[in-house]
Amino acid sequence: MTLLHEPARRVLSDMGTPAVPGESTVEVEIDGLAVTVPEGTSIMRAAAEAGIDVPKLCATDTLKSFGSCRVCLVEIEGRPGAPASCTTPVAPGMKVATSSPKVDRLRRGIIELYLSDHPADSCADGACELHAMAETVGLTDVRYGQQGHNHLNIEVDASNPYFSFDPKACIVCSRCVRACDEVQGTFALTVEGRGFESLISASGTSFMESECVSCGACVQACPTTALQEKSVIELGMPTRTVKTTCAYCGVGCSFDAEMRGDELVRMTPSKEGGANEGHSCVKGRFAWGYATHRERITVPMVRESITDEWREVSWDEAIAFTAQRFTTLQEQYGPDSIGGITSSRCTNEEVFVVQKMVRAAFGNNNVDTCARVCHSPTGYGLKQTFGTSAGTQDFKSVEDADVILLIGANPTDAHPVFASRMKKRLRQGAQLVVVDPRRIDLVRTPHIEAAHHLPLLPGTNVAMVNALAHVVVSEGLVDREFVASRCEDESFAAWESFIARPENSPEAMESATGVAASEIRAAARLYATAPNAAIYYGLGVTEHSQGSTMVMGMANLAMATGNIGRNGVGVNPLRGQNNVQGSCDMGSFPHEFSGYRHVSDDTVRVLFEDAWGREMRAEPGLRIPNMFDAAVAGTFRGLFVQGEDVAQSDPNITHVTAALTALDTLVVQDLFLNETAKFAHVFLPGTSFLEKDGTFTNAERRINRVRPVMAPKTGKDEWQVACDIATAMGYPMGYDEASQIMDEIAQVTPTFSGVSFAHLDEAGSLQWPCNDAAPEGTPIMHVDEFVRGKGHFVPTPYVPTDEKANRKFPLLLTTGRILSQYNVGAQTRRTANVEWHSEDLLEMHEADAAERGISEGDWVALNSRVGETHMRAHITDRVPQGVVYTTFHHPESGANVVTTENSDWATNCPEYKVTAVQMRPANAVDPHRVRADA
Amino acid sequence: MSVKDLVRMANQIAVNQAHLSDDDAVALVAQHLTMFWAPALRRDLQVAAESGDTGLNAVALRAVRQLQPA
Ligand code: SF4
Ligand code: SF4
Ligand code: FES
Repeated sequence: MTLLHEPARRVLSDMGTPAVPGESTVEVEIDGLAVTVPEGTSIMRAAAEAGIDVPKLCATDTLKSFGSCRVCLVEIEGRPGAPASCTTPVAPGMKVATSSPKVDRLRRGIIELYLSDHPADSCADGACELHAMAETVGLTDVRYGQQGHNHLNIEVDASNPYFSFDPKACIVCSRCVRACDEVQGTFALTVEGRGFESLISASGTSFMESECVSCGACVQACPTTALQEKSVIELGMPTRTVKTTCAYCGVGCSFDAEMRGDELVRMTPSKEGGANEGHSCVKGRFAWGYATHRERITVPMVRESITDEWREVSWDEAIAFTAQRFTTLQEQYGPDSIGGITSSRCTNEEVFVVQKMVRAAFGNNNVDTCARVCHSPTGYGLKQTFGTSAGTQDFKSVEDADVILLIGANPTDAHPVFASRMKKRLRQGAQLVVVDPRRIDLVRTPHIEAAHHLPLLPGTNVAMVNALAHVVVSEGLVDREFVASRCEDESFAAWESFIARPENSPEAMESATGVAASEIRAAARLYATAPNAAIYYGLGVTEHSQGSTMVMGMANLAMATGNIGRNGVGVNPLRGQNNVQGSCDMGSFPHEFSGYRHVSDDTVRVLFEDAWGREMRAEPGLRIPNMFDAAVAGTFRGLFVQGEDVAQSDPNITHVTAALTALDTLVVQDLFLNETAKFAHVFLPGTSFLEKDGTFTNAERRINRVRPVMAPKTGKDEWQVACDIATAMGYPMGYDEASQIMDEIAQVTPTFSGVSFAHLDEAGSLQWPCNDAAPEGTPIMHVDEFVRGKGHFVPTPYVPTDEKANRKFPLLLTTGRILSQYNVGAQTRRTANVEWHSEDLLEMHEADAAERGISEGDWVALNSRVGETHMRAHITDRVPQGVVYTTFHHPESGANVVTTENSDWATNCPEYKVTAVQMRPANAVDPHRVRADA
Repeated sequence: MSVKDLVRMANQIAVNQAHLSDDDAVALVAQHLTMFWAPALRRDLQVAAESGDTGLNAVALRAVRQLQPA
């Protein structure tokens, strides 16, 4: 057999073993070159630092070295034998030869043996490192045929929709097993059998039936074609790459979009990505097929009324139609009769332009964003206490946390790549406290067990945080030094006397939270006494009637214990969508310009008036729920909705659809004809992230570049569309390219003044604030002082929600997400991810099910005071008695048919997480929801 | 926007200031309404507050009465 191959691309940038942190260094000589590296570094890595690639198979720099293949042998002066360079650390003065007749011969022998049991055809386009190594070591012929005892007849496991496992090409280097353990933390793979019989196994079953979560880490780590993307098998190896950013969740993973011509072959996580450092989840890694799905609409459409058929039109006609209708509405009903909603799925540039269109061309402040329904309380709460609306840490900070307080978040499902980082830290010994009504996976998962799970009743977060803080204050656990030097004396004193009141004690709160006081006390002590304790939270905090209060409660707790302003601590919102942070930063709220500056601030308004040449309103505009109410009342007549499906995602759908139906002009910009588009008069086709040029900002304030890998399928960039509408309405707005929009953002937003596409391209990513004071960005905030100066404590009285369980609706419904799906599912439902989750299920405790005669899989009618929907039952001990839970990824299940208009007192963020409901077996299988009388 | 909803929301803001003295709570509610509510909503609430029993709680009612004409 003759071998001739291109070197595998993946080998080139691989340093072989992970970097070793530390100050003290060692100097060694490798192939005559002097190299200085941190103590504990492997010879292999030291060689790589010197530009010498030692041949290797089982080593890769994302995994601990393992030393199984023996391909990386070297000779060390004065030492016998040929040790493996990946497992041997450098020592002072060591002299190493990475190549010699002896090691070259040994290496060739090893690789020849591997190749004798390896399919010759598995190396197309340099996909296989084994073949590449053969070339590197100068092996051109294999003396042994493949007639001997071999593995060449073993079946391929193609059960996973995105990748297959071909054991024939497997060299049992365990990189996949170690990736699953060390990087992903799922422990789905094992090596079964010994010696020649050893085989990689998904714990004795197929990948699809195993614990595998399809993150792709094993595929990424595999040096051969044993684990390979099906898209590569189908389309061939990619030939060029474009660095870009995932468009799913707020982790904001960096990816290489790997192309073959104009076709996307695969997305591989980028090691340089600050958020993900080479890891990914099933959505970003594999579920991008929606971008080219046949249901995508790429031509603008209009219709006079929502009962008419859609009519395809040119861009010019669609824009003229939109502008004319909006202008007429304003003439007839006043300037405030129209508004817009920006999307957290779009780029900063696209969002900025839409809010500018509203403020400058519409001439009002009626702009809001879908973050209204998720993280608006974060904005309010953190601004009040710390001075700005942003998470305090970078993701890496979790590596220094000793105690993690996780509240109302389910990272393994909703923020999987960050969850892997968190799990790594927990396996190293950090302690975990989970505050969640439901037993999320992190409570107990391989090699991790939470020290405390506080399964509070939905709606009692503030009771819980007050009880935790009460323990801190009453047991002398306040960090007095931090408080004295960093926080306001007066507000602290007021808070301290408030929180010390007996009504805030764990014992007093027990009846509200349903959690034993002793557990709360123990958890509070653990948090308060840790060297570094960090709070991470999600929508289980914000989507409540006291969402903002709870955010302030957590900020109080962190300040009182001195857990702010360094690595390993902080208050960290895990943002739902890719650009929630960015859409808020860009001035999408009706009361704020970009950079969270209130519209009533004269200086700021003048800045925008000068930049935009139009007078700016000093009063806040309408929020999304206000817009809906005003639409029903007839005073709000026209709405522009950017990339958001409010008819599915917003609460009390009956009310939302009544509002949308009442509008004279609804303009929807999206990839698909979504539920909202059913009520639209204009449909403007949007671009997928693969076509966008711009930036997303993730949950750690990291601004990442999104680069187009193909031209817009619609023929127009999304930002261009908003500019054209504004221009057609008499406010000329235009840019030559997206980078100019970022330049304008930087010009009018002090926290972004150092950001430009050029700077981002050079730095990779930047965490705002990025300005003269922090030219390379700010990974950790509030280090020496808070953004507002001194930290501000706010007393947080617990006010029970009006949404209470009662005789008619005795259960509390709470909602969440699942790993394979994303929000309303518009994207993920159009991918093979439905194989993991084809419908939303209603989780319930067995006692609640039994009481109502409900069995596993039964159709159940679920009703609240505003509506009724149907879904199948799943009986589980994850939820306590009295609580039911569902996801909201499928329109048929209509979870938001039952959620109510209750909302956060400060921001109107809907109280999705608490709805009083009743359920009963539904006899007929009726997937169509029926609406109850409100 | 229905007055009923505006009243519910204004009351909710007031109830969440239970830790403050009445005067401080009134000031805070008024400030919150000014900072975050569109003038049209404040106007509707002001009209309602003047027209008799709206269901506003004491703090919210005082706050609404303190608002500048929107
Ligand atoms: S895809 Fe991820 S979870 Fe599945 S086996 Fe591979 S590393 Fe483990
Ligand atoms: S963790 Fe979030 S950003 Fe990263 S790949 Fe998954 S969905 Fe995308
Ligand atoms: S690379 Fe060192 S033993 Fe495999």
